Amino acid sequence: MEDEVLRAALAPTRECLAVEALGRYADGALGADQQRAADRHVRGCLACQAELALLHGVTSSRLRDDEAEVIRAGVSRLEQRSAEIFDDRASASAPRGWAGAVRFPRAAVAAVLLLAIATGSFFVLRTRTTPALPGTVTTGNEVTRSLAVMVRGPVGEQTGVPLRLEWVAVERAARYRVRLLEVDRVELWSASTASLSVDLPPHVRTAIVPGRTLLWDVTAYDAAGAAIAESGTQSFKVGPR
Amino acid sequence: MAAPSDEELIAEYLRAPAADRARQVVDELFRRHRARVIAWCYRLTGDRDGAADLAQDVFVKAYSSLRLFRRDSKFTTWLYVIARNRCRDDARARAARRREAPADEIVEMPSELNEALGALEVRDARHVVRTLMDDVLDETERRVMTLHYGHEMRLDAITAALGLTNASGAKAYIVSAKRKLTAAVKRWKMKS
Repeated sequence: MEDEVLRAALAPTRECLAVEALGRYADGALGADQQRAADRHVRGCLACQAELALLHGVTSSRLRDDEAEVIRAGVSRLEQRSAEIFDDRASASAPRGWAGAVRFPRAAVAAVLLLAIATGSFFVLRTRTTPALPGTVTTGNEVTRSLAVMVRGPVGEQTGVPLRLEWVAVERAARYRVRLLEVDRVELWSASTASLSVDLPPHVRTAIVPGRTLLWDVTAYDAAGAAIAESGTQSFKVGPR
Repeated sequence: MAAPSDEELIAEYLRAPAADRARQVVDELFRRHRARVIAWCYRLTGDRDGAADLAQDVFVKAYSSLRLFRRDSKFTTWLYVIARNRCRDDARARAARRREAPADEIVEMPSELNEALGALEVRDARHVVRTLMDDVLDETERRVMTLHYGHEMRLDAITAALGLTNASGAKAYIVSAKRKLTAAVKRWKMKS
């Protein structure tokens, strides 16, 4: 009974925003009236506040120590899995290759493939015999990201001026380029290193003042100088003293 | 030249380019976001082994729905919503299969809190619990309690999702919150 009371007390109500709407609210993508109404509701609603905190917590780019291996193994597994699914389409009798761990019922796989054929665009339609796609998505230096660069920090509000920027190793990366940017994306400072962190020089640290938001990103390059992974833009701010 | 944004890639995809180019576009989106989506699925479930399975489901759904993407919000938020819904469905399915809470979910409630809440109608209890939570719990305790009881998230998933770094993660916040609520209930009973 007691847990039921707590569940009833804390469960979302009919007035709560669906996750889809909450995401649009977080992006400021609702219309002005809807945004105001959502704002009023969220301020007084524990369930929506918790859902919003979940969105921010989960999508934070800060990588925790226990996650790096999960992601590395997961990326590898995901690639293998899509290939196995294509093979399965090509030969229904072929055994599934990754320790029998494919969870999709055959009917579901067939439905996905039919949909893929209909759109002509689904990424899993590549077979093993299809050559790797050229990196023509960008012009100039070819970008074929095998893995995002996961950052360790600084991200979010800081209690003091950070000493360095840190990230997690990317497979095949020979060096990393780091940029520190103003919020309008004007570059303040950049560096290139083979390490997984870079110390901020004193003249840069003096520019990091309380309340000023700064952005930074990391791009990983392989030995041939091709960009293979990006962190996306991170931001941090030193809190008031 | 900077790489095109996710939203620019999707706009290109929606302009119905040749099949080969469309495939390149979605492949690029997949490459950009696969690590991120695996991390999200891990954080939303606390399940190291199942994260890649769930991420696969997320990409299946995302690519089959790509034409429904509304460009007024960020692509990553849209992708997160798919991941959140998929992970929630998975948690519910697992709970239904087990038909009981996993061992790590059972957190003994202080008896006085049991008695006080048990004596209330659910509607009254809802009001009392929310009021007391606002009054006596800190922000993290409120969030952990709400995610666990209101959103039915496992404690290990909450620990991963919120990045709680204390030794026993979300469980410690539940214990602490219940202790505070018990004291608050005592005061509330004396008043009423």
